[in-house]
Amino acid sequence: MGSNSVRDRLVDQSLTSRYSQWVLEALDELEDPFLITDPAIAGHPIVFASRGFLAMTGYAFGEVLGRNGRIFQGPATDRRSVMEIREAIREERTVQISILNYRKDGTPHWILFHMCPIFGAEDGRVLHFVAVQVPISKRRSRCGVERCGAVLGTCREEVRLDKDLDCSHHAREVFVDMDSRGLEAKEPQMAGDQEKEKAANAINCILSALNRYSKMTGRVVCGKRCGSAGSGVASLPSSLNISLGRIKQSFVLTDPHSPDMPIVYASDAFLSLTGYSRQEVLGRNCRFLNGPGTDYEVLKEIKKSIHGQQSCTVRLLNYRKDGSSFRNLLHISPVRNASGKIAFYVCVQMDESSKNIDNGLSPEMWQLGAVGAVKVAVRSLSSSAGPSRPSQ
Amino acid sequence: MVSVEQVEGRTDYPFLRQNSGSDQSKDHQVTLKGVKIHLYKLGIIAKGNGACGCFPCTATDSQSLLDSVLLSQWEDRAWKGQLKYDVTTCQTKVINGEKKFVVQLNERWNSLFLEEFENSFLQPLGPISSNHIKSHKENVLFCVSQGEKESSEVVLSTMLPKDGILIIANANPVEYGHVFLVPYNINRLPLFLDKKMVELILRTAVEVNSSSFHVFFDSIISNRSDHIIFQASYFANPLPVELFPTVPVYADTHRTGIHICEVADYPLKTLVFMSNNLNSLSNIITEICSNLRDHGSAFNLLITDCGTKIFLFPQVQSVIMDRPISTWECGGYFVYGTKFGFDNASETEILKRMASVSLDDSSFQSLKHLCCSIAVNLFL
Repeated sequence: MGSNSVRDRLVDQSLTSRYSQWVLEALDELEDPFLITDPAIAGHPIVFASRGFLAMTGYAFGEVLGRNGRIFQGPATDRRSVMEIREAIREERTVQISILNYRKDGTPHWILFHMCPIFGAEDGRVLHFVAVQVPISKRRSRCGVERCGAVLGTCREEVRLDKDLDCSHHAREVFVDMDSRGLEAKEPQMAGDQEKEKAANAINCILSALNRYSKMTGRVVCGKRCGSAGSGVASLPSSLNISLGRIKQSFVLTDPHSPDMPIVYASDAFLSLTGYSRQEVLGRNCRFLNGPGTDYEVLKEIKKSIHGQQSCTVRLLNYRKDGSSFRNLLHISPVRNASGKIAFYVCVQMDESSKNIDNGLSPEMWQLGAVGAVKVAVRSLSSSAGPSRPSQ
Repeated sequence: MVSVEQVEGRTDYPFLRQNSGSDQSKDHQVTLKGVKIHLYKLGIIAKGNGACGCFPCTATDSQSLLDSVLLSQWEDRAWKGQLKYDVTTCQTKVINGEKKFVVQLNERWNSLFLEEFENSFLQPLGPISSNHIKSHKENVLFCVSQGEKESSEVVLSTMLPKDGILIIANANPVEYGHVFLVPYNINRLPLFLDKKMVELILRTAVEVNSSSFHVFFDSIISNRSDHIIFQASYFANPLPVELFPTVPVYADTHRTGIHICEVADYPLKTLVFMSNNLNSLSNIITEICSNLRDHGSAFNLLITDCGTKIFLFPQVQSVIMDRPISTWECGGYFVYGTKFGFDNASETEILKRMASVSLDDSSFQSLKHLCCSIAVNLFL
């Protein structure tokens, strides 16, 4: 119950709310293996997997929906490739690399991974990432033993020359390992032009399908970032969304540079706590949580701290959407980005009556842990990636 | 010689009833009375091949408990004004050029922070005592040690265990969350980078489970004092060195799970050790570092990717610089204390600095041979 089913619903509706229900049929007709992920949902989950992908990997649709793409990685997956993908997500750009993935039965296979972001036309925000995965056909490794030899060349010589080291036995073991069949799959396979072309074509098909169907809902998407900074709530970079999604406490980020300090991010836990939906809170000032029993002096104290760019912890009575009240232990802190300027304020809420911290931390520690995680995440942003230009 | 009587039969000091055979430890036993600290007890990992069982930066879908503890304690000290400055107010930028070095303008930067910490916190001789802790009480955040249960747990305000790692806030941080990690054992002085210590440090990094968490070690500093000091900080963007391509040097996927690579196109000759097997990784690094120390070679270690990747930066005495470079500088992140320096920082100048402390080709080749032969002979 609670945030999990909310999340499931978000995952289910991720495509249809943007591209209409008919997009699923259209995507089903495409043969190539691909995944679509939604960076705005906590955990950056898969929201669609093509039939080709499921056939290639042996998974069922329900087994991958809502999971993160890392489930296809395994022990021999090159960590550098994983990092390259992560960087491309962070920088919201296209990436095309060969990477070793694992099927459901645990067998490894090489794929050409081609991923690109999908931008909303009106605000330039990344809505989804599309990742096409073309299997790379096994070539005769022209290297085989020699390659292993070359890779280990430096050590092999040293091992032979140094008689003190009784390691020739071990050395042979290593080479034997490298020659074994199981490892053939782990020899880096490079994608050929054929595979690259296939990937590019697939991406184009998917993109045009998404673009076509997005016009039906009136919220058009495109493959390139068109305009940015449209009217309304400024959008957060998807990398920040992904980092913030890991923080399980109830909190919001507000934008001090926009009029009336609107909420620009609300965690799932905040929505659970207050009973509002994300659309109902984004763009509004937090004061909608206040009500008849809210202490005016406390509100003045909050205002004073924000004015002085200071952190504060206060206790006040707040109200949920259904009108019920709760004692809120609220911590507010300015959050700076890589330029050193304040980009947001973070407000972490805690319902004092709920005894839901079972990990041994005190309520204050639990709140400050969220504050710290937000500060680390936002510190990675350069000022141009922030929602608006700071005036300081 | 253990004198249990001095402890007045209190049952909460069982860990002191051990034979240690040294007068020093007798003194230290009683001096640890009354020290209360938050304790993070690591869960027991299943014995087997020693694999930690997690992939690099799985970055599970939520913040880890240890991450929460560390960040909350650090933010608490920052909020209480116990740090010299708010490092997040410092401007940073990426330098023009293909290496994409990062520089920070920090007019409050104290380049002697490590020496000052050593002098004030650590006595020249002797294992950690409660005097250490009391003198730095505000900035001692908590302690990490091996627990006895399967899962990790947090115990607030409890007694200091007989060994572990003290986590202490650095009042002169290079970035958010900058802490000292000081391994200690009340019965003896730490040996230089012994395997148990390295393993505990790696386990801490694994347990924090955050791709932003970077752990540092400067061998040059540690040679001066009897204590081993690691540092850690949060850099949400990867350090420049992490984005450079690598060339494989050694790979043994089946037995030890160790991969050794060299970083390509980088001004400082650097090796990278990667493994999901915590046991292998701590073994190989401990041996290589002992070897380097025995030869009087200076080096820096950078631990990333949730404790599964270690960069080794060997350094030589530079002709153009008066001090060795710190680990984040090895990683491509530089702090300037003046606006002039910051505004005029250039890739050329930084390349020169880094190249001046780098090993030459033939020394690096020898180092690679050494690492491979240690890897091949690694006893697990």
